Amino acid sequence: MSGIIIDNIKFENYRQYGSGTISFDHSKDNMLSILIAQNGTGKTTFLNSITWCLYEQEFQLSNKSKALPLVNSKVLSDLAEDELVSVKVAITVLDNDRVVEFERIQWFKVKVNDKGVKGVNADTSELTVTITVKNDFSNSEVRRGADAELTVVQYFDQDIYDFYFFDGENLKEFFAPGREKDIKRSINNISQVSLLENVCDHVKKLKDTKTRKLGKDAPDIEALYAEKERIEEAKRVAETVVENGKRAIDKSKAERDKINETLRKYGPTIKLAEERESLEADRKDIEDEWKTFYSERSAFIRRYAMLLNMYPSIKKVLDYIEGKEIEGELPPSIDIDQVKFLLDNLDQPCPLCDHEIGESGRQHLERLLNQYSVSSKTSNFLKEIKGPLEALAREAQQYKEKRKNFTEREKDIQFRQDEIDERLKEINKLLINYKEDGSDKIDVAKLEGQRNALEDEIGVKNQLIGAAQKDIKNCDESIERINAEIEAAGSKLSEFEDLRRELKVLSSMENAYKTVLSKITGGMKTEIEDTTRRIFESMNWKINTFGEMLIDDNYSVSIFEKTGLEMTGSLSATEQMALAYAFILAIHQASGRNCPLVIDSPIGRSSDQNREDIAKALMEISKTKQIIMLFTPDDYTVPVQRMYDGYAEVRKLSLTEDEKFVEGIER
Amino acid sequence: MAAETIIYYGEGRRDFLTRLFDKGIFGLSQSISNKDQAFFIASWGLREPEAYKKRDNSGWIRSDYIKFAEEKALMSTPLLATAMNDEEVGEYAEYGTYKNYFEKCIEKGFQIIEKKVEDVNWDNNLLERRVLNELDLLYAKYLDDDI
Repeated sequence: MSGIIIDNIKFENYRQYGSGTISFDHSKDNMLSILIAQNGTGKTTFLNSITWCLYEQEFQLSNKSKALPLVNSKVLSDLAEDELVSVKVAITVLDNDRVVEFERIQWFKVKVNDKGVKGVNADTSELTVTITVKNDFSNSEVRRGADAELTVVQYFDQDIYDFYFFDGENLKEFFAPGREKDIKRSINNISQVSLLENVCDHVKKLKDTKTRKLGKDAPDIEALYAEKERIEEAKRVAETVVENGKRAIDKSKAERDKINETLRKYGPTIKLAEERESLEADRKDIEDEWKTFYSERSAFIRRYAMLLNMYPSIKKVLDYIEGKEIEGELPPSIDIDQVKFLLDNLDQPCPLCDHEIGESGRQHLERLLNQYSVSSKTSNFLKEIKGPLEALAREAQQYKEKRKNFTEREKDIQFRQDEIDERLKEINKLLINYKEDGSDKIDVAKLEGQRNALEDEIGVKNQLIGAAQKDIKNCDESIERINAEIEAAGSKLSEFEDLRRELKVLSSMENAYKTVLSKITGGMKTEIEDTTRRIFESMNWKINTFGEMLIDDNYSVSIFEKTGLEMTGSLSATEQMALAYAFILAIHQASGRNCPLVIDSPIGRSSDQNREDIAKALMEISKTKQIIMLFTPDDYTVPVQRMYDGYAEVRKLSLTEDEKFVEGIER
Repeated sequence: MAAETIIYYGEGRRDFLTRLFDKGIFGLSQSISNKDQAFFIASWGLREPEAYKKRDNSGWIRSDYIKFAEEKALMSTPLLATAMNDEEVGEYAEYGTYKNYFEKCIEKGFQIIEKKVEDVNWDNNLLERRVLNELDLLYAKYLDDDI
């Protein structure tokens, strides 16, 4: 026999099993043990004794039983208050040449409440694992605490206990929706990849934590370098602009110098051009001066044409007036009109003295009349115009001088104009004309134009260079700043270098674990799929209908008819049980650990005709794997009896008359 | 307004004046007052005054604008200078008399100027140079001896 075998289970004061042993026969060509017990006799308690021993849990316990103490009720009733009692279950497992005994013990102190009912105060339980090489008890190894629990995990991991110790009735729920996660976890556990998976998760969490730390705290030196590169590129572009600009300027300057050299043969053309410009401005001023001159000359001519043309007349009138003045007629001292009036009216008294005028008066008036020939009105008019005429005459006398001024002024303007014109003529000749000998004609104006264009070009290029140099300066400042940041980041980065290395290692580890995990789980899945199919087919179930079985990555099992239609959802309870068996057994096989199965109600209570096929298949399996089945007498039907009786080790359990102990075990 | 109070020029002289303005002859222009234009033109004709054949009724100068003594002197002197005795002086000193004579001087002045500009083909510079020579002669004739 190979694999892991439960050799015996020892009880001490454990519930109705009290103290005793159940040993399992594995000496035959099969390892099928059957316990037949009525409900309430201890069938489920047997399953619980195993899980209590291994995990300190009684998974199948009813609420009623949970209320009862772990201590056998008869033993408890025999104890006095404050007495101590221990409960113990020990499972002896054979693992090839090793004997492994899992023993859990828990102490209780008896208490009696006010109503006289006994109870217990429980101490903590203790698990001990003793490993002994067969027939060499001197080398026994005793493990306690965590070591003991680790040993349990190695043999019967609690996470997957229901693959070893289960109620067959529950198998029909095995593939119920929502169980995939449990199945996958169980499979990973049984296939020993859980550890790998845990490590993988741990590594991933560690990596994520470190990545976050690195991302949060570590300077982004890559970004700094990228920024530096960008600025350096901008600087290179600016430098190229400067370089090209300088080259272009050199070229333009060379061309300009060449033109200047050519122009130099024709004198200082630049100065000449400037002088020409200045002279042209002066020429314009001269023209304006001429305009003023001509305007003033016209006014002078108008005025003096009038004065000189009229001068003889003016002179004559003035002479006349002056003559009259000498004669005393101007200004007039008497009113001639009044004298004439008096002479015409001699018979009337003088209006001035009111006396008669008389003869002497008449003679005097006549003498006055002859003396003054100009009327008073005329005299007054002449007197009025005399002043202006004198002024006009004096003004006329100024003609010569003014005329001279005009002449000189005209000459002066003309002289200056001639000078300017002469100089302009010379300059234009220098600038525009050709070489004196007439050969090698050049167009100075054109060359000057070219030179000006080159100067403009040089100016533009200089502006571009200036802008580019400013850019370069800015770039240098930015680069200097970034270098400082990089340096600072570099010193800071060394702090993160270890972290970075760790991260790298963790990433590699994670990838490696994932790869290994993927390979293992992939291989596991394939193996489970094949084995499940083989075992399922071995149950001869719907052999003509069953077509294909698929297990996806989440270990969800799908059954298809040969027609291709999925039939998983239409499986009967027994069919689902068969599939679960096939699946569990496939997992057992794939795990490489041939653990025993302890199954309560292994083929259920249904009346399905195919349950015998399951029973038969399990019988076949028991040839290589220990199977302990718990039946009620009703479940242990005749067809099953026929199959198992004489083949399997069959043990019937019952209760004593006082129902305190299970009978059928070794005491 | 009564004809006696307005100084007229002959028919066609308005257009001639406009042309003189346009050509800038003697610097004449609209900006120069009508009185000054008239005194300048009349001065050329005072030796041989001549009545216009037909007057331009639009008139040239309102008499009430001739209010300064110099203006009266310039306007009356041509005629006063022709007086042979005191009686004529008294007669010529009347506004209406010397105004009529003044219009005749104007007409003759127009004729003389017209001939002058035609002679130089409306070249003002040449015209003015010629006139300046004439003025030089006039000055020499009438004033050099005085000085």
